Formats: sequence, C-alpha cells, structure tokens
Amino acid sequence: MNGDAAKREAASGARSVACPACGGRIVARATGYAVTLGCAHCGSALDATRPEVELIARHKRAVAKFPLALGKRGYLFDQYWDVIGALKRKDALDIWNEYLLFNPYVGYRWLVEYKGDWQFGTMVLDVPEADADGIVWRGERFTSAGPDQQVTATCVIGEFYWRIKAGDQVRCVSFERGDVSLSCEVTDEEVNWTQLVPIAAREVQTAFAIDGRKMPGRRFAQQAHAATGAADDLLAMFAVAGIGAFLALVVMLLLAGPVSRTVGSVNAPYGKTREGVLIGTLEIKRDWQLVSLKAQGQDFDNRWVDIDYSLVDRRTGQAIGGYGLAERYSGVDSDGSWVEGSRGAETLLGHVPRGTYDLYVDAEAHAWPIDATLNPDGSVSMPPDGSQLSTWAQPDAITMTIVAETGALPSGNWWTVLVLLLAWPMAILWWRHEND
Amino acid sequence: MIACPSCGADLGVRGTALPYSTCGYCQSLVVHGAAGPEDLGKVASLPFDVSPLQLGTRFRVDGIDFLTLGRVRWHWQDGAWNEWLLEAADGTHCWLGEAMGLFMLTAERPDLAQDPMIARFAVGVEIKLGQAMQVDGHLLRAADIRRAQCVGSEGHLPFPTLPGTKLTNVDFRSPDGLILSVQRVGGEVTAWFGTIYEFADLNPRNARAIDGWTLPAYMQ
Amino acid sequence: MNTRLKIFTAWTALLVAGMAMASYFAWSPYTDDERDPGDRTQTGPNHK
Repeated sequence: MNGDAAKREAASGARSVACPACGGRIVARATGYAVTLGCAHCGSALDATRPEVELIARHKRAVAKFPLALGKRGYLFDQYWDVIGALKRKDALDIWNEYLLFNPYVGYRWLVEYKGDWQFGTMVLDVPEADADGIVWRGERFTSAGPDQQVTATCVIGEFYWRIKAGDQVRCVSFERGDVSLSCEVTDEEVNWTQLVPIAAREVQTAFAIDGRKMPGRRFAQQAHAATGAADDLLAMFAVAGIGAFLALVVMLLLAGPVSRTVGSVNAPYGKTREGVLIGTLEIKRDWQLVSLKAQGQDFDNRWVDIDYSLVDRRTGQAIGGYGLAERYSGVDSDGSWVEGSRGAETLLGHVPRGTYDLYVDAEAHAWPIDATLNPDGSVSMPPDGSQLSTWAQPDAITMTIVAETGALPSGNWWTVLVLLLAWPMAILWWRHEND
Repeated sequence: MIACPSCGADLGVRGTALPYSTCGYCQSLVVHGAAGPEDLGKVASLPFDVSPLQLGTRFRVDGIDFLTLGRVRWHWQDGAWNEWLLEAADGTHCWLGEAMGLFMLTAERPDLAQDPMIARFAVGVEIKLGQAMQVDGHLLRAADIRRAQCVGSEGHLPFPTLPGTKLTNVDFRSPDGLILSVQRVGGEVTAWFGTIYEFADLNPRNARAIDGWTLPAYMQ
Repeated sequence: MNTRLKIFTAWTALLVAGMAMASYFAWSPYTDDERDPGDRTQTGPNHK
C-alpha cells in the first residue's frame, strides 16, 4: 500500500471487513486498537490484530438483539461516544447487557444495562486498597455489595481491545458507596477495576435516540441481585399459572372416574356400637381410585355420631378402614343462641386398588355433655336436649344415611396446586407494591 | 531542511540526537551519520489507526512542554500498540505508549538499568509476571510481558525500525497508576518510568483530526 | 422469555405432572385414615 492509499483509508475514519465465517460486513471503528471482532451477523469471534481478520471461533447462531445498536453515537457526560461493542453477560442469577463506548480523543467507557437500570463505567487506574471491612478508594470507604460471582460472556459482538469470546469467564466482585459502585474483574492474567455511576434510562434513551419500545423495562426493586427478573413478565406468569391450573383440573377430572355409587343407612344406638352393617357394594374400575363416604343424619342436637367404615375386598378379604364423625351442638348463652357442627360427615379414602368391595359400617351415637344412663328398671334415661330443655325421650338411635362413591375428586390437591402456582406471582405483586 | 537520500522529500524537524528518520513519502529508513543521511532500506508503512496523535502534536504535563517527533508501532500476539517519541523542552526524550485508549508517559531511568533483575534481563534472563520492583519508594509488579515485532514507523527515532526488529517489553505497575516499562531491543535494555494518563490529561495541542469526529477545540 | 419466567414455567409443569401422578395413584394428603383411638381428644362444642 502506498501513502496515498493509506490516506484514503484514513479519510474514512473506520474500516470495513467481510466476516470470514458468514461474509457479512463488519465495520471496525476503533481501528488499530481492536483485538477481537465479534461478527454482528453470525456471532463468530475474529482476530482483528492482523490485516486479514482470522476466524477464532465460528458460530452460526442468530445473534442476540441489543436495544442499543452497534455504531450508534450518543452524547453522554459531555462527550460523544460510539457504541463499538456489545456483550451479554450472566452470573448464577441474571443476564444483562454491557456496551463498550469509544471516542478516539477520550478513550473507552462502559454502559451497563441491568434490567432497565443503566450505569456508566470508567476504568480505574488507581486501584483501591482492600481491608477487612471492604475497600478504600480516593479516601472513601466502599462496602461489599455481595459475594463474588462467576460471570460468563454469552454473546460478544463488535470490537474489543482485548481477547474475548462467548463463553469467557471472569470472577467479579462489587463494592458500593451510595449509588456509586466499584466493580473488580479478575482473570488469570489481570485484575481490572471499573467505577460505575448511575445514569437515568431516559438520558441514555435520549443520548442514543433509542426507540422507546426497545428500551428495556425497569426492574421492580433496587436490590441488585435480590431481584430475579424483569417487571414485565408478571402477566405472563399469571397466564402460565392459569394454564397450569386448568391443565391440573383436566388431568384430575380425566384420571378420577368412572363413578360407582351405593346408598344405605345405619341406626347408631346411644352408648353402644352397632357393628357390621352392610351398606352396599362398590366397584373400583381403575388401578387406583379415591372413595368418598358421606354420612348424613336428621334432626339431632347435642349429639355426636362415630362412624367406622370398612371397605372389604371380596377377593382377598382385606379391609380398608375409614372414620367419620358427625357432631352438632346448640345452646343459649348471654349472647343469644348458638349452633355448632354439622349433622353430616365426609370421609375420603385414597389409593384404593382395583376390585369389588363391600362397605360395612360400625356406628355409635353419644349425647353431650353426658351419655344416656341405663335405669335400674331397664329403661333408658336420656339427658336433656339442650335446645328444647325437655325430658321427652328422643329416639334411642340416630339414623345415618350413608352415600359411598368411587371416582371421587381429590379437590384438595387442586387447591394446593393453585396456591403453589399463585404464590410466586402474588409474592412478586406484593413485593412490587411494597417497593413502589 | 534534511532531504531524503532516496526520494529527496523533506524529512521534517529532527530532534536532538535522534539518529534515525523514516521518510513519510518513500518509507525509507534514513540514518544520519557523519557522512550525511544514508538510506538503510524500506520500512513497512503504518496501517491506519484512530490514534488521536500525529507528528507535531504537543503536550503540556506538569509544566513541561513536549513535542511528538516519531512513532513505532509494535505488534504482538494479542494486538498492536503505538510508542510515540516525545521530546521535552529540555531536549530529553520520553516515550508515550498508547494502549487501551490510555497513555503511558515514561521518562528514561538509566539508574534502574543497574538493578540486578534488569541487568539479568539484558543478558536474556526473562522476568516473570508478578516479580516486584521498588522505584522511588513505590512497589511495582510485572503485570504485562510482550514479545513484539516492529510493524512500521514514522518520524525520527533513536533506533532503527527495519521490519522484524524485535522488542521484549515488560510493564511493571503500581496500584496507584505508576508504570515502569523495561524494554529490550536488540541487546539494549532501557528502563522507562512514569504515569498512566487519559489523553485529555496530557493537555494536547495540534492533535490529529479523525474523520467522522470533531476535534475538541482545546486540542486544536 | 427471561430466566425467571422459564423457572416458573418449569415449576408449573412440575406441579401439573405431580397432579397427574397423584390423580393416577388416587393419592391425596387430604384423605381420612382409619380411626386412631388417641385422635379424638375432645368431644362437645368448642363454644364458650
């Protein structure tokens, strides 16, 4: 190349090369400084230290979109800056964007966008001094902003003044004082300190004329790493929860049936157990089903009825047991009359295997506060009925109607799933409300 | 005026005691011997870069004025960098190393060449990363070791810059931004001590106009 | 889709799968077991 050619190229201010992997045009702006070029079209890493760029690592993936495009120029902190490089980086919790800015008369700066919050970074040449409580820099104490993190570059496009490619890792630790932070990045070869000051998203948007729709949303809380996601995913979360709850309901309904049903009744005597009353026969037609047992009595008060169920497998003679309790009380006190309990009892038996079952019931009724007493003449003396305060005899047994059904729905399961699904977005909603 | 012995072009203002010049027109490397200028051969032309310096850029640092007289561009495995030769008002020479958008202004410290580690380095015993040097009460550690080759030059320089000229450069740094560059070119070892600056901190004048950028008024 | 939403979707899938498993085996934490004699510590109303 002769001197004239060099001058012609110089007049362009930037040079353009073709990506050896995809052929796409790459414009290098910090000519002579660039060490690595990340192709903005295919993501391949190129060696920019030689006149002919060489491929370091070939990629064929679609390159991640950055809200701030390479080549944009903006005016920040009294200087114009070109966006010459863009990185996506992640740690164990999050992923964020970093932009390398360049002005040939000033040097390099960083723009870091973390979930809608922006910081302007300057490399620090006077390294802070560390002690047990944190670090001291330019006479001011900075405190640790959390444990150190392994940070990985996941996408590298544009030009960089050091060797970098997707997958490169550094250890990063941050210190804070007010809203200024100092970030320290350590690799095998070097330790770099960067001072980061906050900058309003609006200022960045105006400076680089970023389309408002491309601006990343602000995160909902200020804690750098306590926040684990962007603000605008909450609706999507509720939608996912809704779909999940619906699917769970469908699954429950599909797997519960078919229903087999039997109805019978038992007279529960006072003070003694009536044993082995056959209610009916149930057929479990799936590998396993739930069985619901409902007992319902009529017109009793200040009584309770214990019911023991036995589902006896006709083939094996094995019994599955269950227990129901119906109790109802009432009275009058200084606040007026009161009623408590229910004359019905529901029992759910789980994991009942396939087979034909006979349902037997043991039942026993009790009065409250004291049971009936057997008089010497053989008659039964009943305690007074609380509601009627009369001594006229109630029937000597309580009739309970028993309804048994296979294919019962474990509705408690579904409510549990619903609570576990909604807990997450609801907690975020609450947290956002608290932080606004 | 000193004319290029090869093409007759003006070689420009020559600093004191700088024996080598690169002709900006025919890329001849010229040595200024007792018998007058002599053509030593062609050097590579400098590839375009966006450095804000050019020959003739002036600086004022700590009350001392500097004039840019020459440049060597070195290439190593991880990139390339410029070393600009500055002449201070008192006639002494400094190097202004340009890397990562930062500028390392260093003055020669012949006394440090007597240091045993540097003396051993002169005879080929390499310095290892992390090795310590004490300079004026500051502790510096070897942070950067580069083996480089000359890929071009311009202006006036203290050594010949024919293609393939080899340099081993060891940068020692202190936590407070001081730098010691130990350079071995041929068998000659020199030690340069100074400070890292941003461009604007050097109070530049007659900085280079770069197409697409506005040269700040205070740098014109 | 951000990391948080991905994790939440995985969580939802896990719950639906758990629901399917529980439904198939007719298992529920809310079933009533056989009477434990020590279970019933109190009879009568809680009204005071």
